[in-house]
Amino acid sequence: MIAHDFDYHAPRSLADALALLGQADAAVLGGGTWLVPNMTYGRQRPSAVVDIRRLGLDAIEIAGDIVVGAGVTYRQVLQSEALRAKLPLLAMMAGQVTGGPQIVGQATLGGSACYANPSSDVPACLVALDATLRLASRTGHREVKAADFYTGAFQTTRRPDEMLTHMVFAPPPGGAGCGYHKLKFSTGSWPIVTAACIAVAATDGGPRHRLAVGGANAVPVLLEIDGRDPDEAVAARLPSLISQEWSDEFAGAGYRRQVAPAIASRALRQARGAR
Amino acid sequence: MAIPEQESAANGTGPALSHAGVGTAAWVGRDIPRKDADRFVLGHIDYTADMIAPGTLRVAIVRSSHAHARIGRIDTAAASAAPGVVAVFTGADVRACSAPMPTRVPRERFPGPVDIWCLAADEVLYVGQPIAAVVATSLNDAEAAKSLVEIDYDMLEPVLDAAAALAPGGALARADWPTNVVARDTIRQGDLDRAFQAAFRTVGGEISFGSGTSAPMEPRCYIADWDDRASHLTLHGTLQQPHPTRWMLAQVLGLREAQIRVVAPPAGGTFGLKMVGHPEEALVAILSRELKRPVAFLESREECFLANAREQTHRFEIAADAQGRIIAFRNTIVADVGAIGAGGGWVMAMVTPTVFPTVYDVPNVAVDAVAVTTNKPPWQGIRGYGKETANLVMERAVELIAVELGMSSIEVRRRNLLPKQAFPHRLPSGLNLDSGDYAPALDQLLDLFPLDEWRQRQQDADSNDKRIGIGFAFDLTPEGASFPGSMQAGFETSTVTVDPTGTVRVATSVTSPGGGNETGIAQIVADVFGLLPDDVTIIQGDTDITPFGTGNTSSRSLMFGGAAAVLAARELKSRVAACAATLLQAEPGELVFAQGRICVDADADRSVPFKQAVSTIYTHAYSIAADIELPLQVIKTYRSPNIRHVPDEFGRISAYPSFPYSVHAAAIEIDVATAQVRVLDYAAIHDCGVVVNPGLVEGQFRGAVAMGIGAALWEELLYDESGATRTNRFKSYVLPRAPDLPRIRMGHRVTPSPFQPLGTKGAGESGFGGAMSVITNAIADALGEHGRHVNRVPFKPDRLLPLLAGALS
Ligand SMILES: Cc1cc2nc3c(=O)[nH]c(=O)nc-3n(C[C@H](O)[C@H](O)[C@H](O)COP(=O)(O)OP(=O)(O)OC[C@H]3O[C@@H](n4cnc5c(N)ncnc54)[C@H](O)[C@@H]3O)c2cc1C
Repeated sequence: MIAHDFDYHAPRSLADALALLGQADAAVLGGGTWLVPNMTYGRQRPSAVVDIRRLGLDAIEIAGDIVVGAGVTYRQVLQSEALRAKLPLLAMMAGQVTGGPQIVGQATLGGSACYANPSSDVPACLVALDATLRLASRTGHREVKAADFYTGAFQTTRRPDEMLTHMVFAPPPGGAGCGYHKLKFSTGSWPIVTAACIAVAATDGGPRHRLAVGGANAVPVLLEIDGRDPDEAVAARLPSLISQEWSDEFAGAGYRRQVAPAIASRALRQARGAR
Repeated sequence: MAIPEQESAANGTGPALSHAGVGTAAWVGRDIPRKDADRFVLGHIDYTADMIAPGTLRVAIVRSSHAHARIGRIDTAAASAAPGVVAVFTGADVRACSAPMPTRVPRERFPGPVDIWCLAADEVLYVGQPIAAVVATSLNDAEAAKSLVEIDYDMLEPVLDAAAALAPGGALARADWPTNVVARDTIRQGDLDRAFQAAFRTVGGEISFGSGTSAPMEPRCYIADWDDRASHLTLHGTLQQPHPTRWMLAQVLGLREAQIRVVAPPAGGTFGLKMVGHPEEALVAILSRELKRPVAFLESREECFLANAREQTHRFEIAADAQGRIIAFRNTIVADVGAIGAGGGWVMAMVTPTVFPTVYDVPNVAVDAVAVTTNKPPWQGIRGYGKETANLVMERAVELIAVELGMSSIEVRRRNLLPKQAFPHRLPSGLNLDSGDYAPALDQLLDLFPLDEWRQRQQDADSNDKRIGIGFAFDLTPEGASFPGSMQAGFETSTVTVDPTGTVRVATSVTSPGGGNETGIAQIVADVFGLLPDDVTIIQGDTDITPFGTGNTSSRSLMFGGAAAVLAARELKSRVAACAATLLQAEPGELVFAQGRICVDADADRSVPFKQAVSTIYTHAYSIAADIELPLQVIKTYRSPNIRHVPDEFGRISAYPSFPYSVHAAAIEIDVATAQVRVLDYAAIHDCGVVVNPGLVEGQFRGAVAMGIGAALWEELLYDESGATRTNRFKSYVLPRAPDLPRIRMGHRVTPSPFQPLGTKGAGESGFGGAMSVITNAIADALGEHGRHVNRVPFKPDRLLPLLAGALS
């Protein structure tokens, strides 16, 4: 139950939505699986809520670049054959989201991308896939690379008057493999550490890996590794890249930094095997 | 109707399906579906919160944001003026119109003032303690106005752990109390020093337990409706103990019991949480009387996580002779029971010491226990009730001494288990074990659990990648708590009525938490009369129509409430038999009640329908039934002959009558890189005496095992440095889900209790401690030599990882 009063808007045009967002203290409502509980617990108290459901942001377009609307749900990702073929990593990730049909069919990728919770699946996948985020405001549009979007736990470069409209992915080269490994302690637990990896065959010196580790740090950690034996590089480089280690009720200080290389290696192995 | 075949074969020595005098036992032992199962599954049951009628005022509670403080000025003006708000009550308001809640703190042991009010009067003792109640026409309005209540706090030093509580000259958790020690117990048997000196091997260790909570699916809810013209209060609530709640309310409100009706609708689980003594039980009643309107409180999930329990530290030592006989055990227990509320949750800490040395025959035993109060939330009743920690410590001690002896721990157990002929057996605490058949249960378990196969898989596993661990554990769960001087005094009452159409009604003091005891009671009563369980209606949870008793705690329902119903039913049966004897021209002793008929034993053709005999009694009160006492209604109380409240020669009482036990085996796997634990296999043998309904017992037992696995691996309440509960959602306090659990294979043994008329023992909590223990032992086993350092439950991966590193190096 939400204790404070607020205005609810479900505008039919992006322009209207952006105008509303320009007003102080408005929050974008995606699936609401974060926003509504946060408002219930009094952690967020926006005076207006702008629902994106009528803005047509729930489409997946595949024509050259792959454009995923901010309002696309995990279920839509799982149901799109074309997206599964082009970006199997997203489908692997979506297939492991918990919460049952209520969450999978309701929660959006855009909501997870913007909330920037270190313990979420989406952000590191966006970084691994080198996604471009399209942000719109009434003063204009801009594009940000996922790796530049995340600035801290629950913090992004998105201004309060901006809305994420789309996530754009360049199709990985043919023959690329991908891997997604998630550590969580039980079915009901948040992700503790995630690793998303794209492995691309190179002409010499073995595959090139683009690896993003989520959950371990305040922001996703990106590693680019070449060579046939990347595990050593991961073990050597990853711990020091975890400069703002995340800790919570599931695992205290030191744990995530220590286990992250093993989780990363599992995703790497899967990406190479899946090629 | 077709009688279903019994599925789980009861294995063992006792009579499996019937016992002394139950009758023909057509239903006892059968796995019939729960009464009203369809209504539960179809959502046709009204839980308490479903009964909040339109127009009922709602309460939102302003809770302390500090662990320990004096309350200064409380400004309720802004909140009182907020939309929809009808009233704002503070501790001072409550004091002006009610009396303190009765508590379980024994005044002779505890010298300070113990008044407990439902709203903190001048000192707050934990983060989350109710300070003010905002009453509004909607929950929204009440919640919204909460933040407008301004409270000035005068900080006091909080006491947030047991070490601080025991530090000489340290801060006090309740400023008016001269000490933080709430209770102590000292248990002695034999000569410890001599035994330890004479021992062949000794070993010691330390184990601490994190806090846990019960987290039932349905949180608490209370609806009070004061009828001012009649001076009468009705309270509907999530209550395990309606009669004790009525007793509590009578004192708080200064009313006679006859002015109060307490109703407990069907419950969505409780696991001990909904025992008497929560502040909101009294609060809604006070508010309703003052405001002359119905008032409801519905607990949020976040508030539900304020229920604290189990935090303890044990330091133990065990000694054995060269033959592997355990000759001595000693243990010191320090329990942090949080703040003291009106409930009896803290008593759990004093149950722990009484269970040692569980199923083992140990001549020399010393246990010292101390419970300290701190500024964390109060303990609330939870399945296991303190017995689980005792079992785990004992099972660890057995494992450690086995290593020292160079023997398998199974062999050590065999050499030390109490033999069947040793019962009844007095534990050092004074508890009198009713019966047991432990060693054969272990054999039975080894038939169910492929130990050799698992040992092979353990050897074959790549120990740098995955480690497999195999564990065993016994569990002894005293059941039927009967504490002198409390409203849990150890008797239950049932009124059985045979109505004119020949159907049967049982109104009993025991309530159902959702576990199905009503079905079991219907089965045993049906057998007395030779009727169908469908002919027997069970009425529970209403103080106006059920007789006095404790309610549902400590697995007492069938054991006490069922026994009382059987005693009453037998008396009624003899009345009906007297009439039937006249009708059939036979002796009452020749009659058999079966399948709805009463027939002459030797001559089945001479019979009369049960219904006809009953209607004859009701309609021929001056002729055929002239000598039969009417109405056909009997009330009986059952008291266990295995409870002793008079201290024995060692000054000890015996507050538990029944001792179900179980033995568990599990195989687990630890992922070496992450210390994540997975349970691969699980088997257990359970013995609760005569099994009335195997499906219900198995449901309870599997639930207990699931809860024990959760408590061993994932569930832990965490507090921040200010004493606030960090784990207040199912996303931070995680319960096991079906995919997290293995298939639990289960076998029964039946060793009837000689003290109970049906031979049954409690079933409900039993198995919880065994599950915690077997997972702990399996994890220690996976760590090899290093397993001896296992010292903290639950095994969250961040704590297990350093232990694993030690095992690898
Ligand atoms: C039971 C349960 C299980 C869950 N399991 C998982 C899991 O396994 N893995 C996981 O990663 N997460 C999980 N989540 C977390 C979360 O629900 C998801 O990550 C989800 O994708 C969030 O999306 P949403 O659309 O519901 O976000 P919302 O709640 O709508 O929004 C989240 C935040 O982002 C902002 N926002 C939303 N959309 C936009 C936009 N287009 N532009 C700008 N800002 C925006 C909102 O204002 C809000 O601050 C779970 C949640 C629950 C309740």
